This record gives sequence, C-alpha cells and structure tokens, in this order.
Amino acid sequence: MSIFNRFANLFHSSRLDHDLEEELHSHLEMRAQDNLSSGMSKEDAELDARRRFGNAALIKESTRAQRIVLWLETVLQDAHFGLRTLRRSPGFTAVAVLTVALTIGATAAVFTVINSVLLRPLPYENPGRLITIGTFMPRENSEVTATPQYGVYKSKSRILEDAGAYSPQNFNLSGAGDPERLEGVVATGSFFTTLGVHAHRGRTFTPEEDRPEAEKVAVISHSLWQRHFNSDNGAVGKTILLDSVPYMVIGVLPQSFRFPDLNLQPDVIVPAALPPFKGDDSQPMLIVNVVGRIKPGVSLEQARSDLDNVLQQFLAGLHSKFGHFFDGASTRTRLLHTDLVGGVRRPLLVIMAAVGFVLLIGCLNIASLQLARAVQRSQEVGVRSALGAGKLRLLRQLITENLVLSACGALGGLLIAAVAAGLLRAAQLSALPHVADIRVDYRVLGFIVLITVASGLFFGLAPALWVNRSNPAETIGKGNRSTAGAGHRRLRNLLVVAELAVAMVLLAGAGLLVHSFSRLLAVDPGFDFHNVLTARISFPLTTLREQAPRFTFLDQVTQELRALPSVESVGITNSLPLLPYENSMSITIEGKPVPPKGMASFVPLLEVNPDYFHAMKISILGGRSFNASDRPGSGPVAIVNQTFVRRYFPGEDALGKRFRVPAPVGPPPTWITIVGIVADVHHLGLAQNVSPEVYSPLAQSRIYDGVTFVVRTSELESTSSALRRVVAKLDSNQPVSDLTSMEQKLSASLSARRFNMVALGAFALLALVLSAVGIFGVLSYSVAQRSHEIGVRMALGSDRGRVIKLVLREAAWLSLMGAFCGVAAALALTRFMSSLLYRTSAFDPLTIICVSALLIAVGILAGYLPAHRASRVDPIIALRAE
Amino acid sequence: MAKNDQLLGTLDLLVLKTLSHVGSMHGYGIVLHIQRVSDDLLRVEEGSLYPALHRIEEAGWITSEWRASENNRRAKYYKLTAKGRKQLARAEASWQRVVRGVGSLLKMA
Repeated sequence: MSIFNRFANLFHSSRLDHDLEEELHSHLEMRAQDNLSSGMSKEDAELDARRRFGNAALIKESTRAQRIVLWLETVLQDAHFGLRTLRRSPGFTAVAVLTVALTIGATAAVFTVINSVLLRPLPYENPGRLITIGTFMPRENSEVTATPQYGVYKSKSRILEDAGAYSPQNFNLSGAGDPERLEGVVATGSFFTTLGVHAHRGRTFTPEEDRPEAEKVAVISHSLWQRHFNSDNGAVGKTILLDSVPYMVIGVLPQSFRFPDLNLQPDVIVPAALPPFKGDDSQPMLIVNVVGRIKPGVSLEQARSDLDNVLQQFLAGLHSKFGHFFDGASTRTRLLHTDLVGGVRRPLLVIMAAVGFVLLIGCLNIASLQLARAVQRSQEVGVRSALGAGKLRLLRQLITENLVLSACGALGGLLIAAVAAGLLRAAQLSALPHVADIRVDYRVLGFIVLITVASGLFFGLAPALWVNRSNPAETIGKGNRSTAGAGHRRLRNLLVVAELAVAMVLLAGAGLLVHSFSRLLAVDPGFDFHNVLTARISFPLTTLREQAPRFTFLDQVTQELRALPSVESVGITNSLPLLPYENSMSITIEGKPVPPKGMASFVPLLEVNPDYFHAMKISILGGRSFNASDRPGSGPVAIVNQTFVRRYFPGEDALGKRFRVPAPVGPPPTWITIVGIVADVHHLGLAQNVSPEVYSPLAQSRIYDGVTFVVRTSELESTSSALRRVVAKLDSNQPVSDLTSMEQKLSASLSARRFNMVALGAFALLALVLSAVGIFGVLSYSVAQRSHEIGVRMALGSDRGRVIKLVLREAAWLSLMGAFCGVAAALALTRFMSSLLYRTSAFDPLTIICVSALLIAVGILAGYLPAHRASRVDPIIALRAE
Repeated sequence: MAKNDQLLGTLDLLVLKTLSHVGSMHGYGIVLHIQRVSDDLLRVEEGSLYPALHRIEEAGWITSEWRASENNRRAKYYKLTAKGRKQLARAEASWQRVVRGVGSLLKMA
C-alpha cells in the first residue's frame, strides 16, 4: 500500500467503513432476495443469507485490517486500551482528569489574559516604532508637555518619522435625542497618520483641517456611530453639536480602534486647531500627550537623547517670562507598548508565576498518582512482557495512556479558559487594559497543546520509565505485595513535599495580598462613603457661558434635591475624591520667605459649597465650615486639611493665617484667610499619601468645566432618578454623567488590587487542595501497602489510636517538611511582589506563620481518612492475605 | 504469508478470471458465477471473498464503483485493470504449472 493511500485511508477511515458496510449489506440483500424467489420464507431467506456469510463484523474487521495502517491501528489500540484502564479505575481517573483540567484551565486562562494584554501587538501600523514623548518637570515632579514643546519635537528632531499630540476634552452632545456627555479628545492633524489608523467609514482629518480658521470637523468612535447614528452609512457628512458648536462628521473609526491612552475612550476626536506658537505665552497653549513614530533602526535611547537636545535648545532660547518654570526639564521617552501595559506587567507576571506553580503541583500530583499505579501494575506489566510484549510497546502504551489523560484534561482546560475569558470580558475590569480584547485565539490553543503534551510526556514518562526498568521475573515472583522497596516511597514523599512547598509559596503570596488589602480597607478615607450619590454636571464652554446662570442652575438643582424626604444634605465640589485633582495652584504664605518665580509650592485646590463637608461627613477639626456669608464680595476664605497645617504651620495655630496665589501679571492678589481645618481625605485613593489641600468656597470661585453633586441620601436609587428628572426639567440640553455612588467609586478604585488578590488567592486555594489530594494519595497508598505490617502491629497489641497516630505522624512530618521548604522558597520569591503590597513587608512574619499553620493543618487533615482506614485493618484478614 | 500463498492465490485467480469473463460484476455476482461455471463444484466462502476483493483492489488489479444493479439495487461493481489482466495471465500460467506438477505426481504414484 502506498504511503499516500495510507494517509488517504487515515482521513477516510469512517467513509471506508461505511462503504464496506453498505457493500456487505447489498450482498446480503441480494442473497436473501434470491432465497426468497427460490421459495424460502422471508425469515429463512435472511437467516440463510447471514449464515452463509459468517460473522459480518469479523469480515469487516479482517477486511479493514487490509486497509488501515498497522501503526495507526496500534496507536488507536493503545489509546483505546488507555481509556479502558482509565475507566477501570474511575477514582484515579476522576482525580487525575480534574487535576489536569483545573491546572491547565487556570494556566490557559491566565495565559489568555497575558496574550491579549501583553503579547498581542498594539492595533497600529508597525507598533514597535511608536513611542510616547514626555517632558519631565522636576518642579512639578511630573511630565508636562505643552503644544510648543510638541511643535519643536516634531519639526526639529531628525529621528522622528511623524508625531502627533492629543489632549482630553469632553463635550456635551446636544441636538437630536437625549443630551449626552461625551468623552472627547482634541488632536493634532498628524495624530492618525502617526498611528497609521484609517477610518472605517469616511476619513480622518488632515493637517489642513487642524487650523484655527478651518471648518470644524469631527471623527467619531464606532460606538457613538452605533448608538447615535444607528450605524447609518449616511452619518458621514452629517453635522453634530458639540458644546452647541456645529461639527461635521467626516469619519467613523473602526471597532477595533483603541485609543493609545488607557484612561481615554473618546467618542469624538476633533482637530486641536491651535494658532502657531510665537515664542511667548501670548497664544493659547494646550497640555498634551505626544505619540511619536521613530524612523526604522533608531533605538529608544537614541530617540531620547536627540529629542532632549532639541528640547534644551528650545528652552535656552525661550522668553524669560517663563522664569524658573522649566528648570531642569528633560525629555523622557517610552515605547508606547510599555506605556500602555507597563502598569499591569508586574501583577500579571506574578499571577502567571503563581499559576505556573499550580500547574507544577498538578503535574507532581499526577506523577505521584501514576507512580503508585505503576507500582501496583508492575505485576501486570511483568506478565505482559513475559508473554512477549516488547519493552518499547509497553513504554509507548503507558505514554499514550498518559496523553489520553492529559487530552481529556486539556479539553476541560480549554473550556475553563474560554469561560474565564468570557467572564473577564463581561466583568469589564477597569484593572486590565483592553479587557474587551481578551479571547482565546490560536496562540492560546497552541499554548494549551504545548503544555498538555509537555506535562503529559514529562510526568507520564517518570512512572513509565519506572515500570520499564523492572524485571518481569522479579515482579511476578513478588506477587501483589511488591512494595518495590523504600526507593519508590521516598520518591513519592519527595514529590509531595515539593507540592506542599510550592503550595506554601502561593499561600504566602496570597496571604500577603490579603493582609495588604485588609490594611488598605482599614485606612480611614477621611469621609463616609456610604449612602452618597454622585452626579457630574458639565457645563459646555459655550451655553451657560456666564457664571451667574451656572450658579443659579446649581442653586435650583440643590433646592429641589433638598426638598426630597430621603435627602439629608446636598454637597457640591469641583473635584471629587478618588479622581485626579481638577486644579492646583502655587501659594505664598504671609510672613514666610517668598520663593523665586516659578518655584512656589503647588497645592491642590478644591472648590466646594458649604454643605459639602456635611454631605461627605468630613470632620471639621477647628474653626468653621463655609457658610452663606462667604460670597464673592466678602473677604476670601479657605479651609485647609491637617496635612496642610503640618506642612506649613508645624506647631502653630493655622486658623487666621493668610496666604495668596501669586499672579503672573497685574497687582498682587488679595490675601486669603484660613477659617477652618478639616480631617485629611485620601483624595487620590486609599493607598496614596494625603497631600496638603486647600478648600475654597465655590461661591467665591469660577466654575470652569463643571461640578459634581455629592448627595447624602437614604435612597440612592430614587434620588438618582429624581436628580435626572430635576436637571432635565431645568435644562433639557444639560447632560448628567458619572451618576453613581461613592461606595462604587471606592470599590472601583480598589479593583486592580482586588483582582490581584482574588486571582492569587484562588490559585493558592487550588494549590492547597491539590497538595492535600497529594498527601491523601500518598498516605492511602502507603496504608494499603503496609496493611500487613499494621495487621502485625495490631495482632501484637497495638490499639487503633496508636495506628491512627502512626499515619497522622507521617502526614504531619510531610506537611512540616513541605512548610519548611516552602517558607524558604517564599522568602526568596515574595520580594518580587513587594510593589503590589500596601504597607506590608514581603517577609511579613505574621502572614508567613498563619499560612504555614494553615498548610500543616490541611496536610494533617488530609491524612485523617487514610489514618482512619488504617485503624480499621482487620489483623486476621491482613495476615491471611500472605 | 508464504504458507497460504497458494490458497489465497486460488481465490484471487477465480475472482480475476470471473471478472475477465463477465467484464464487471458485484461480489454476490462473482460468488454465483464461480458456483455456476464450476457446476457447484467450487463454492466461494462468502466471508473470505470481501477481504480478498479489497486486497486485490489494493494491489491495483481491479477497480470498483458503485452502480445500480440489474434489479435497481445499489451495489459495488468490480472491474479488471490492465495490471490485473497481466496478473491474471501470470496466475493462470502458474496455476497450469501447479496442475501439471500435481498431475504428474499423481500419475507417478
């Protein structure tokens, strides 16, 4: 038979079988028909036809043997035999398949996330050459790049092929339909060409359209196209109102487009349309983020030094008006990929390592189980090899059996990974970038196949080799009590200790995260986040342009809300906790030395109404809260937090002290008097340190972008819909956004840490269960093997209690050894996760002690069932089994 | 293989000869034909016919195709190939040699 035919048959074997069956069937029919016409009864005719034929199945079998290749047949036989032996020991099979499914599933699920988040290339053209360019300002301790710097980077640098800049700017979409607050971005004309992104419908804008005098155009997101235009192809060319200004829609972005900044998911992108830079601050500027495309072959470091040169030349020739503002400024560059996923890299790698450990434990478990089985089966194998089965054939048989096992498990694992990917997508975790793109793809499949085959071969090979080296005469001679000596028991004990040690590392890691998380939850945020509704009101730049109508509008909403019986108080702020500060200012304090220009301290400024502190339950520690008398005409006042007092008035009474905000031009501004001191609020998140903060009365401030209502209410739901109603009644074009509760905001701010903790915790738990199964298996087997010895002991007067103790002592010893080795490994490894911990040492002794105790307790518990079984050994039966 | 070469060879020869005679025929027809032509002297084991047919087809001596039979039943029809014709000539020659050999042996005894 030609090789080609063999392979053709391989693929057509079922068709062949079917063909043959039909042929035999047609033969039988013809024979029966002839029998019938020669006068036989119908039954006799068929019976005779079959009798003449003999055994149809047998014929099929021997005919097929001509067809199907021998080696394939053997493989199938092996697999079949493997399945049969697995079926014969359902307990073992269930544990083994479940172990493989869980470990491979968990590993594949984590790999799916890593693949989608870290490994898959960014959805841009040649993403490897995209970088972010920032200007680091030591005075601000942050990267701030304004449009003039971007301009020189783009025009002067020789290593950039292209560059684009953008800045977030939100818009109120009005006109037809419900008003909506849109996340938006203003970008330079080169933004899309730099990324190499093309529109799904229409086109993206050009540099010519990025000019102050050009007609206003907008590119919209796929999602806005769907919800606002019902995916209408005629959307391109239509006009939309953004902050009441008409913009023509020129393009729709593809669904796969991801903005190169994780914090932004803009629905509209419009040209920045800035006037050219004149060398001073006479023209409007924008703080921007810059994306550059470096020329092929340019390294990141070359790019950085070239761009920094350009920056230094620019700053040297800058107008002195900027003072010390740019002192020490330098350029920083990062690969866009690093910028996007850098933050989750470490946690994801820690989780991947954790799941790798789980996989290792699972494999050790299986190896241990297989070893026990192999020894039990050594007699069977001995008989088979004595009967002439080749060693290679026996070895292959065992490996195939293992691969069948792994394959069953891997299918389960694939299922688990797919379900996990779906759950993660549905959960919309803010902790993970591009969470919508998480899915099982061919790379994940390849990964599953790889680890399945690798683990199946490696951990199936150990027991297989073990069996193969045994001598048939010896094993048959020994009969069923072939204990195979202490060597094999030592090996199994070693495996279990290794499992426990690895489980210990995971438990320590998870324990540290739990500890750190509980510390974080114990942090007093400085306000009461229960029963507080939040709602953002963003004023468009063009309608309600004047300050007075804005205040009137806010007053009206406040009045209506206060009238609701469930509402306790209505606060308003321009800068909500758990979000970045809206505004900072440099201050100089009366009686303290005035810092040089551009060197003053920056302090976050929060503008709030008098009821804000009451609504948020922020304690007033000294002085007074704001009240109705703090009006635009009255003397400017401020309330500061404790940290402010500690920083600027250590050991002094801050009440009554004055500070002011230096103005770049004009007469010196008036002094602002501190009238109150409030408790610290963890504004940027529970894990962040508190900055010195200044609160000023909203009534004495200007309202820029918008404000957020914080409503303390006993009924969040009804108040939320009431608020919507009230706003819609007062101004039907006014959107309400970010309608949620402070509690949800706090929970969301912890989501990344919670994700890490839950993931690692789940894997640690899995590891603990798997290693408990491991101990259980080893001890059960050891009890079964030693039943004779136990019988002798009992016959000699040992009681049940002592037998139980005997087994439990073994369990305790194994657990102790595991915990001991595990602590050493944990101490070496947990330091890699210190960046994930909040005020918890990576060597936290309490955590280590607790999880060691847990591990040992579980280990001893796992030994209880085998111990109990040992105590039930009947000495007479055990001895008679000789 | 060597020990039952002759035996298998006989069935092969019968099948090939039948097909060379009738052109194209299904398995059941081959059985009937052999039986009829040999005046019921030769009866083909229906159970061993199909393995033989498939083996011969595998060797490339015959080809098969599904067709409607004379009374409109679907059946698999076998037909001799050029290679099969040559094989038949060889097998016939070798058979004749065996018959002659056995014949002279019997006469001698």
